[in-house]
Amino acid sequence: MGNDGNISRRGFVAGFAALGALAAVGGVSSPLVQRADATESSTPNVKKQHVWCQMCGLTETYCGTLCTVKDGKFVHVEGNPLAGNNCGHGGRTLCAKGNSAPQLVYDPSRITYPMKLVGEKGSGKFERITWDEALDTIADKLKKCKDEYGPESFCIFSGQSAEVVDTLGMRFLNLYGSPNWCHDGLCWDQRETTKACTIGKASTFPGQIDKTNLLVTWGTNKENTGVNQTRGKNYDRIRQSERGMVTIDIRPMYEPMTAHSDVWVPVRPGTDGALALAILHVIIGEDLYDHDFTANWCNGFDKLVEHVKQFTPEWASDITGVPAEQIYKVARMMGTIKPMALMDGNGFGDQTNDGTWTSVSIFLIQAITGNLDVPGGNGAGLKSPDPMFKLSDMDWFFPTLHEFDKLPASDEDLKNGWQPGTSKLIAPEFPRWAYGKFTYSLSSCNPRVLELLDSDSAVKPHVIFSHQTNSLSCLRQPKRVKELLKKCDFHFIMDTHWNPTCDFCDIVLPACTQYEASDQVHMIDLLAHTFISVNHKLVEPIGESMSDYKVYAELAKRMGFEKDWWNGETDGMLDQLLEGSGFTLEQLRAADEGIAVERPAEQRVVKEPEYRRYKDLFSTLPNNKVQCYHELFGGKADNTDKGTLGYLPVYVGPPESMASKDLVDKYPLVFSDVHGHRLAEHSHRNNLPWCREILPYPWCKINPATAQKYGIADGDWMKVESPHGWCLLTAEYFEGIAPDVLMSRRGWWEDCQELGLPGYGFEDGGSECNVLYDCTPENWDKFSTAAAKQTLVNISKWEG
Amino acid sequence: MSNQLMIFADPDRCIKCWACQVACKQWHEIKAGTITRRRVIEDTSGTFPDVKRVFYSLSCMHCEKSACMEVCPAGAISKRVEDGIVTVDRDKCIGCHYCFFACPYGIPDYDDGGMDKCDMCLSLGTDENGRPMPHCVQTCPTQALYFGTKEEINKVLDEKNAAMVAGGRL
Amino acid sequence: MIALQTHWSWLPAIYLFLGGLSGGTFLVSSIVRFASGDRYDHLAKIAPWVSFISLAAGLLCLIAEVEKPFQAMMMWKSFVNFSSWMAIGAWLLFVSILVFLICALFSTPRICTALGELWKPFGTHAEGIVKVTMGIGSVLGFFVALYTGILLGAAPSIPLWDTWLIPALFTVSAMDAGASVTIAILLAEKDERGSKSHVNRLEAALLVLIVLEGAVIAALLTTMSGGTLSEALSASIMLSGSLAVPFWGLVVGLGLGIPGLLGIVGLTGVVKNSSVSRALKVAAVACALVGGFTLRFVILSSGIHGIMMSPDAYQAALGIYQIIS
Repeated sequence: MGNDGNISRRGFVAGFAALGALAAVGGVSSPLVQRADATESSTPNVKKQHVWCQMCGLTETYCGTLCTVKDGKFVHVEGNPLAGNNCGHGGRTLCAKGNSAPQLVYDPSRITYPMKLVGEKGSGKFERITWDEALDTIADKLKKCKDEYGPESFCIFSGQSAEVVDTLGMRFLNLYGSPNWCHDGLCWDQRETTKACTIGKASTFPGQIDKTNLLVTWGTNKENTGVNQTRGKNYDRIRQSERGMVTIDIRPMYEPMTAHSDVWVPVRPGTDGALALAILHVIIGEDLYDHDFTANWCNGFDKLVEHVKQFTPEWASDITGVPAEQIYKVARMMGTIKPMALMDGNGFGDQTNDGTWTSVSIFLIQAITGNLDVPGGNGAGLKSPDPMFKLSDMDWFFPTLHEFDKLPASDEDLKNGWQPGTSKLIAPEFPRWAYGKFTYSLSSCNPRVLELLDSDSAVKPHVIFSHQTNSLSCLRQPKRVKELLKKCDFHFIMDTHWNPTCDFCDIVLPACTQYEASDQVHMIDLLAHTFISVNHKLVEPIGESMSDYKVYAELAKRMGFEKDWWNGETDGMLDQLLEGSGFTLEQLRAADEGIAVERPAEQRVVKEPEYRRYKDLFSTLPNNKVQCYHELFGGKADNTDKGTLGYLPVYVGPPESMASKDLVDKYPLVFSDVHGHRLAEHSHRNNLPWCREILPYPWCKINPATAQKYGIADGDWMKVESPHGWCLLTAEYFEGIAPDVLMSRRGWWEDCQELGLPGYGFEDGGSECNVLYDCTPENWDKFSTAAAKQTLVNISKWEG
Repeated sequence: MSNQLMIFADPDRCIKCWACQVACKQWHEIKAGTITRRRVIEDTSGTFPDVKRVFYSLSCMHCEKSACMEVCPAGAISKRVEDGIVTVDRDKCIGCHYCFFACPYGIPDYDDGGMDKCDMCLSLGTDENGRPMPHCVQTCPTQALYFGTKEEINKVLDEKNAAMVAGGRL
Repeated sequence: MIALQTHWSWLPAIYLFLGGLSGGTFLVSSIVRFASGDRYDHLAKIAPWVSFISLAAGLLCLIAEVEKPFQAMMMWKSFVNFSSWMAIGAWLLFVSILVFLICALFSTPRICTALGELWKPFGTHAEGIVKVTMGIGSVLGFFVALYTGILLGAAPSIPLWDTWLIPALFTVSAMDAGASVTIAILLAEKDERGSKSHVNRLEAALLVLIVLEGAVIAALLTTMSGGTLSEALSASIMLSGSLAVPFWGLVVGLGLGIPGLLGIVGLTGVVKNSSVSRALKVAAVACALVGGFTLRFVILSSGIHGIMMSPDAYQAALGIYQIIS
């Protein structure tokens, strides 16, 4: 399995099978891992059933778990040994979040019935209503919106992509006639689309890590997200490091996996672009690049050579805070140690306002050193045999029920050769010309959609559905977001918890967790077997909460789409997926722990793939080559429809940085926040008592010497103030961070009733660090819409 | 004793993800904010940028010579003959905290039912060989916890060390 | 910042102090009673009761401290493992309380008479009972004081407590407290001229004890400071860390310095005014007691496990598991 024609956001899943193979041939195995068969539960009131964990959300995991239900209560959870967790090694492994799953279901703060706003937006005045009233109202609004403003005025917001929104949300939009599925513009998609435009279908993921001699992990934190799954390969990385693989870890903080790396490059937040350009400068300047590759497979390499002459390590050192000697050192390592694999993360590319060129520069390092699609480099995973069965309409890992195939092609679409519907994106995340060829799907961008509400644009969103997202903690500058939310005509939201955005919505719908419904089927292909399971409904939905899948079905019925919606029943969707698999839904629901179809021993053979398939990998790119001189971007429209993109990578830097001479005196420290954390997930999950008790307060990591200079003791509350706002965070002394850098975490709005811990406010004076950031749309990345999460701050001890 | 069971936490492989700490609480239905049987601690040394962090998953070591057992006035702590697991009889325990001070690792924790500590998940049952199945070991995503007799653990360490020697790490 | 030990905090500190106070008072007061032919009424009536009450109160504090006090009170069930110093100590305290009580009952004239009326042999042998209980009780009292230190020392994982200097210190401190209390009682005696001579001798003895206690504290903290990293860190908590103020102020200043100073003042007879002189002696006693309690408190609170302070200690403790074939 390798990347083929369809661009998939979840391309990493290609590695699933390969990793299963790796488990068999490569890694050091521990005889002490309990791979025992599931313990037979002999007591009649106890059962164990499989559910796919989603603690990390869609993007990182689908750890298979076995959930113990005792006397009708969900009490225990462990990894399902058949589901190939943990880099395919299987076992009952599960991370801290996964282990806390039972607490998710029984959280006393859950919303249990639908509500409608009866006061001003933000007043908190809500009234309980029935599901019928809620859904009828919503359907009515949707119909009116379509008639009055056109279907494109309806947008569905997802934050981090969620499976149900990606599949059924998009399907709903498709039938309704709107292309405006919205992504938050600060995640994986940003750099993945850039990658597709720069190195085509080549991977930025180590395919055979047992052959890698140098692993460069850049802006990635796999001890915090996807801890137990394949992508981060923590288990494998450590084993390979033991056998001699060298690791360079590039990120602002010395995190646990840095402790298992050889070199730490403490790059200042938001300056990875400068570092990458300097590394290119050294690799090219010192002739460490792969001549064969650059001569044959690089577009405009000569222009890149000229261009990077200006980006010296000395220049970069000032900007990044990394000593010039270290930049030379790592550049030379990256140029000489082969094979080198890059493991990329959200830390660069997705959350800086020059993320696109940063990503381009980093991917080009990988390319010009000849490490794409080579054994031990990026991509080129071992080929597994075909799965023992197939699901229909299944793209990599989740259903392809979301094709935007019913949107009409407007004149503008036809004239430009765009995918039908592209012209109706009211606030595209990427330039319109990129859709259909290089992006995951049609997409508008949440913050840009919201900005339309305060513009004189003729086109605005009139109805928004926020599904599994909280804009007031997900997006930068919640104070601005709050003002924009107030201006939306009709906004309905569905969540398990009352997040702050709910206060600005017209209807709030209670969602149940996946443990209370049976709406998802997945399969995992390993070398020893292919595994399939449906989510089992462990307990009845709490209160009146409803499955996120079912709500689309209910709306579809009211909108008249049921013919295209399995007659308004979610099971119909599952039946369709199972067509041709040899399984029925009844069978899957009867199989408590899932079904594993064994592969005959003689077929358990992995093969080496063809390497260096450059003709195919770069076939989508201009001149069929890697874009060192970017003729795919160059001179083309950017995502505002107003400007054009450049040809060569540049460094821009955050809106407020050490280069802001007018600000550094008053705001001398650089501030940023982590995207993921192993005790929380993006901007939520602080409600899990077992996780919350470990780090109960809004922490901000600070170098002890710096803290002492400000008279701040370990654990003290401190006021953190930027040119845009201020918040209160607790100081956490940490040597693994530069003296002029602070790192925190967003998303502290959730309370934890069991521990008596509060949720904190999202405005100035609360603990939502997003208030510190700039949110000027002009500063957002012109290709990917990424916004900066770096700024300058001043701190003081908080006495209040 | 040669059949002494152990749980060995390997700092070479620990990433301080806290999975073991939480899994233990989950399986023993320990309410958050009360006691803790297994705790991931860290030793940070050096100053920026020359920092070193080492992580340990700390819990009862079921010591060969259990100091806790010796100092317990009520005789509530005993060491099993068959596998050396040190257990506490909470009915006998009066909760005087003396075992906390005797333990080299400060492991014993207390609630109003008495002392509480790791029992290698013995209370949750044993496999067909009569061995308990510690959940911390099973849950660790980097498989940094080894469970077994000294010989069995040695084997894992030997394998690791052989790889490290071959890789020039030792 | 090192977090202080909080498992054994106020109540155990009180218990250890009262144990020492009780044993020290009984021993010192019995020595004076023997030396003076038991002619001091107040001493006879008050001292054994002080010992009994303080020890009983101490034991109550111990029982209140545990998670299951009512179960602890069933001593025949809860203190049965005699490889544990706590079990030994509990029974030692129990026996001591009985002995102190008997001595107190028979040292109090009215009660003694009433007992004699209850059963004649009590009356005839009263004096003998008092003498025997004073003798046995003195020995027991000494061991009670010593035991409070051995209890801590028997927990070898606490670097600060893992030294014979701790039992030595608690014993000297107990004698110090006992002498102080005995002096305070004697000051109330009607037979002033006679008691004065004993008071003077006691004050001299007390000065010696104060110096001795100071020396043991110095020895303890010096050896710790020069020892392993964990030992030095433990000592530093009292010398310069979060307990420096209570240590230097209350333990050293109030507990040793002021009583020592006032003792010299008393012995040199500088202060002529007898009521001021008496008030100063009482003040000295009060200071000594405050210092004595605070000593137990800071020693307890500084009793931190080696591994919590020093990775070397952890590695050493873990050493048995670093098995490389």
